[in-house]
Amino acid sequence: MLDYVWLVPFLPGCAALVIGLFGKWLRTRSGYVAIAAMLGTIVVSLGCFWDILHGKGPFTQHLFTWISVGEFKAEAALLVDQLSVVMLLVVSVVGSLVFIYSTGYMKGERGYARYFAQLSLFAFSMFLLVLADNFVLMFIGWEGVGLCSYLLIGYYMDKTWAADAGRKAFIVNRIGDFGFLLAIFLIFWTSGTLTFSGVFDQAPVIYKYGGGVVTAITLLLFMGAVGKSAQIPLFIWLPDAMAGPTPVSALIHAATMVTAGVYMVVRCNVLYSLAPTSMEIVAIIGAATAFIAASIGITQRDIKRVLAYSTISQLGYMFLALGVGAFAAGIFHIFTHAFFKGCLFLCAGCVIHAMAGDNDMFHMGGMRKQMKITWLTYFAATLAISGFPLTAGFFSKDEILWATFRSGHLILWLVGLVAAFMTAFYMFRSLFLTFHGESRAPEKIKAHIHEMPRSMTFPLVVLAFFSLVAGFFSIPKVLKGSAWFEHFLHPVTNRGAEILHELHVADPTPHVPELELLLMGASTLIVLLGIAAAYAVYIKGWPEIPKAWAQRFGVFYKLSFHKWWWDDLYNSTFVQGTIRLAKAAWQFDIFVIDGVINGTAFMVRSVASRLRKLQTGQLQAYGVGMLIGINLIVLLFLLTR
Amino acid sequence: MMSQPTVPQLFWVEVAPFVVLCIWALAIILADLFLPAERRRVALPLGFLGVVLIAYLSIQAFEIPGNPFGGMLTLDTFAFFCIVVILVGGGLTILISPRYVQREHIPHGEYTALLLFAMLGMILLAVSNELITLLLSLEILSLSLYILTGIERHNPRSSEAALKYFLLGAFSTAFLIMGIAFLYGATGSTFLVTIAERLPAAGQQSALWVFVGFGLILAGFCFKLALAPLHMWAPDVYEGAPTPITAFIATGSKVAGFAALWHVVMSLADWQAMTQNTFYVLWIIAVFSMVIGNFAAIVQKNIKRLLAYSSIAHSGYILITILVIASVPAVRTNATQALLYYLMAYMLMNLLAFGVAIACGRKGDSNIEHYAGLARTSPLLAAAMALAMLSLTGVPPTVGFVGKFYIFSAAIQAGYLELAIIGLLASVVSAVYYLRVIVVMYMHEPSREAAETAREPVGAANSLALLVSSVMIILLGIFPFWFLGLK
Repeated sequence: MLDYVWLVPFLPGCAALVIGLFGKWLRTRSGYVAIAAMLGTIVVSLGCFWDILHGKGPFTQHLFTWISVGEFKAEAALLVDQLSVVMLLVVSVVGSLVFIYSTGYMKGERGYARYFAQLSLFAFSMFLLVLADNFVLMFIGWEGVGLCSYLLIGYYMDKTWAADAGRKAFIVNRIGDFGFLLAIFLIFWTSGTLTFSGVFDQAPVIYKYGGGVVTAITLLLFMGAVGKSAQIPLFIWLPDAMAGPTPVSALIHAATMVTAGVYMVVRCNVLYSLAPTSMEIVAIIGAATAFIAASIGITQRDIKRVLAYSTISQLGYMFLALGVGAFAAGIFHIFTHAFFKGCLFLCAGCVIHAMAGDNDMFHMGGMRKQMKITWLTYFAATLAISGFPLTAGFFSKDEILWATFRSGHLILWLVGLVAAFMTAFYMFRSLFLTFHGESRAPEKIKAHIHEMPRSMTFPLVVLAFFSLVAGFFSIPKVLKGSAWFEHFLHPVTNRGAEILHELHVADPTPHVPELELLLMGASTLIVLLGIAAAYAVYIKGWPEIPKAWAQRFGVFYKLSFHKWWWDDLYNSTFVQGTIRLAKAAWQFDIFVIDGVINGTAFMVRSVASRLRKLQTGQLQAYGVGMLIGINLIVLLFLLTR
Repeated sequence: MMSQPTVPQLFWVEVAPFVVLCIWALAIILADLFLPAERRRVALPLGFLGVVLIAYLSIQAFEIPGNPFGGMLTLDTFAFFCIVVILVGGGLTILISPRYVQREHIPHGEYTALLLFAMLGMILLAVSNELITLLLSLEILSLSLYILTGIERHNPRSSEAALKYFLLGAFSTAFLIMGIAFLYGATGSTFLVTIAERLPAAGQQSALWVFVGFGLILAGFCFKLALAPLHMWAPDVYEGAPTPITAFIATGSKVAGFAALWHVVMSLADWQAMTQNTFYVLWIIAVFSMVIGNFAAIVQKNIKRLLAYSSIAHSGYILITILVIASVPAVRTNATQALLYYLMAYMLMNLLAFGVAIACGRKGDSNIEHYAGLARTSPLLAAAMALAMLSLTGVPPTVGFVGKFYIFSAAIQAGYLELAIIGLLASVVSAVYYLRVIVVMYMHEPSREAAETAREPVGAANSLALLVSSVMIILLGIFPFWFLGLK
C-alpha cells in the first residue's frame, strides 16, 4: 500500500479541484465528493499503517523534481514513517468525521460548495505538510493550510468580524512563517540540502552540540511553530479564528492544523536535541502557554472561546513535552487531543445550532434533557480533556507531566499541574453551564432546542468513543502496560536521544516506578479537585458563588476575563505603531517614490513614443533601416572577433 | 572538390514525415478543386488530421537518430523537440482558425494547404544540416507565409502587409544567400558537419570570409526571428496578417528559425578562432531586442501590434541561450534545455493570447479598448487572456516563469550576469503592458455596445485549443520536467 501513498494528498486535491470547478453544478453533491475522497484517504492511510507496522519503511516516494538548479533541488517526494503515518491516520479519520458532520451543519448555507472545496484543499495541504520529505514541500503544505485556514475563518466574508479574524490569523501566522523561512535558508546554507534525511544525517557532524547555528535554526523553526500552533506570544489569533464555521474550528483549529507546529518540531527532534537552549525555551513557552491560556479559559462566556483557549493550553502541554525531550509523548497528546477536542467542538456546534447561533454559555443551561447524545459525548470528551483516570487524556497528559518531572523541571511540572487543575475546572464549568441546571434561554429559543440529525451525532459518538479508549494505545509500563505508542514511534522520536548518547551528553535519569505512581496519584487528585470545585461553584453555588468570587478576586477575574490584556497590548503597540508607520510611509510614498516612479514612467513613455516614430510604415525606410542593421551586425562581428 | 555522386540510401521511415506532409498538402489543394463549395470546409479538419499523422510519423522517424538524404537532414533529439513544438503549434493554429476563416471569407483549401506547406518548411528547417537545404526550407516556409499574410484579398491592410513582408523578406534572403556563398567559398562545403571539420584548417584569409559569411547568415536569421535592428517589418505584418497567421508567424517560424540558427551556431562554436568576444554581437542584438521590444510595446493600442513587439522582446530573451550555447561550452546542455523549454513556453502563451484575440475580435478590429469589461461579459475568455499575459510576464506557476528562470540561470552560470539583470529589468518593464490588458479586462466597464451585442460563440475547435494551451501552460509550469524529460 505504501506505493499508493501519493493518493493521500491526490484524492482531496482532486476533490477540491472538481468541486471548485463544478461546484455550481454539483451543489449539495459536492459534500459527497469531498467525503468520498476523505474515505479513500482513510483506506490508504490504514494500508500504509499496516505496512509500517510490519516493518516496511521508512518509505520515500519520489514523485517528480520540481526545480533543480546546481546544488539546489526541490523534489516532490513523500516520506512515510512511523511519525507521518500516525498523523495521516489522525488527519484522515478526524477529517472524514468532520466532513460528514459538515454536511449536516452547513446545510442550506450559502457557498456550500465553496466550503467543501476549501475544506478539501485544506486536507490536501495538510497531507502534503505531513508527508513531505523535505523542508520545501513541508513549507508549501504549511502555507497551504495557512491559506485555507484564512479562507475558512473568513467564510462568512460579508461579516466584518469574520473577515477581520481571518486577516488577523493570516498576519500573525506570517510572523511565524517568516522565522520558518529563515530557518530553511539557514539549514540550506549550512548543510547544502533540504531533505529531512540529508539534514538529520549530517546534523551531528556539521552542527556543534549547543552551537550557535543549530540554536538559531531551532529557535527560528520554533518561531514558525509558535505562530502556527498558537503559543505565547502569537496565540492571539486562535480565539478570533472561532469566527469560522464550527466544524472548521474542530478540524483546523483544534485537531489538525494547529498541531503542525508540534509535528514539525518532533520531525526535527535531531536538531532540537543538539540545541539544549532551544529545548529549554520550548519547554518554558509551552508551560507558560498552558498556564495562561487555562487561566483565561476559566472566565470566558463564549463556549467556542473556552474551547479555543483550552486548545492553546493543550498545545502548550505538547510543547512542554517536546521541550523536556519527550517527543513521543507530545505526538501521543496530539493523537488523543484530536479526538476529544474534535468531539468537544463538534458538540459545541450542535449546541450553537440548537441555540440558533448563540454562543454564550450564560444563556444556555439544562440542555442535557433535549440533547442526550450531545450531552453524553461532551461529557465523555470533557472527562478525557480533564485527564480523568483511564480516559485518553489521562494517559497522554500524565506522560507529559511525568516526563517533565523526571527531567528535573520541577517548576514547570508544578505549573503544568496547576494548569491541569484549571483545565478540569473550566471544562466542567462549561459542561455544567451548558447542559446542567435550569435553562436560561429565552422562551422562543427554548422551544427550538432539539437533538441534531444523524449526520451530526454519528461523528460525535465515534470521537467520544476514541476519547475514552485512545489512551489504551500507550498504557505506561508502571501500570503493567506496554507503552506501545512510544515504542512504535521510537525509531523517529528517539533519533535525537541516540545522537546525544553517542555524544555522551545525555544522562538518562533512573526510572523510579513508585515515584511515577505517586505523581500519577497526585495529578488524579488534582483533576478530581478541579471537577469538585466546578461542581461546587456551578451546580451547588449557582448563581451566587460565581458572582461573589468574581468580585472578591476582582483583579484576577479581570486579568483572566480580559485575556491578560494581550490583545490590547498588541493593539496599542504593534497595530497602532504599524498604522502610524504606514501613514508615514504613505507620505514618503506619495512624495518621493511616486515622484520617482512617475518620472520614470514619463521617461519610459517618451522613449517609447520616440521609438514609435521610427516605425513609419514606409517600406523604403524599413529597407534602409535593414541595410544599416545588417551592415552593423557584420561590422560588429568583424570588429569584435 | 566534388564528392562521388552516389545514390544515397533512403529509409522510408526516416523521410516519411516530410514526404507525407507534402503529399497531404497537395491532396488538400486537389480535393478542394473537386469538392462542391459548401463541402470545402472539410479542409481544416483534414489539415488537423494531417498534423496528427505527421506527429505519429515523426515519433517513428526519430526512433533512431539518422541522417537521411545523404546527410542533408539530421534527425537528432534537438530537432525532435523542435518538431514536437512546431507540430503542437501548427495543430493549435489550425484549431483556432475555423471561425476566423469563415468570418473573413478566406478560401479553406488554399489556406490549409499553405499552412501545411509552411509547416513542412518549418520542420525541414529544424532538421536541415546543410546550408542549401536550410535555404530551401526557409523559402518554402517564407513563400507560404507571404501568401498567407495576403490571403485576405479584399483587405488592403492584409495586402500591404504581404507586400512588405515579401519585399523585405526577399531582401534579407539575399543576404542569407551571400553568407552561405562566403561560407562555401571559405570551406568548400555546404554541409555543416564538413564545415565544422574543415574550419580548423582554414587559413587567415578564409577565416575572414567565414566571419563575413556567418555575419550575413546571422543577419538573415535576425530578420526571420524579428530581432532588433531587423525587426521593423514585424509590427506591420503582424497587424495586417489574418490573426491565426499572425499567431503562426509569431510562433512556428520563430521556433524553426531558432532551431536552424542553433544548428549553424553549433557547427561554428567549437572552432578555436571563435572566442567569447566573437559572439558579442549576439549580446548586443539580444539587449536591443529586449529593450526596443518591451519599450515600444508600452504605447501600443492594438493587441496584435502589442504582441508583435512582445515577440521581439521574447526573441531577445531566447537569443541569450544561443549566445550561451555558442560561447560557453560548459553550460551548453543547460542552455539548450532552456532554449527548448522556452520555445515551447513561448509558443503556448502566444497561441493562447492570439486564440483569445480571435475569439473576441470583431471584423477587422483588435483594439485593446474592446477588451474593457471582458471579465464581466465572458469570464472564461478573460481568464484565459489573463493567464497568457501573466505567463508572458513570467509569473509563477506558469511556463513563462520557469522558462525565464531557466534562461536567466543559464546566463548567470555562463557568466553573463549583466545580461540576466538587463533581461530581468526588461521583463519588469514588460509587466506594464501585459498587466494593462488585464486591468482593461477586469477593471474597466464594458462599453455599452459590447454589453448589448451578443458575442458570437467561440466554437468548439477554438475552445479546445484555448483549453489545451491553458492547461499546458499551468501543467508544464508546475512540472517542467515532463517536457524536458521526453527524451
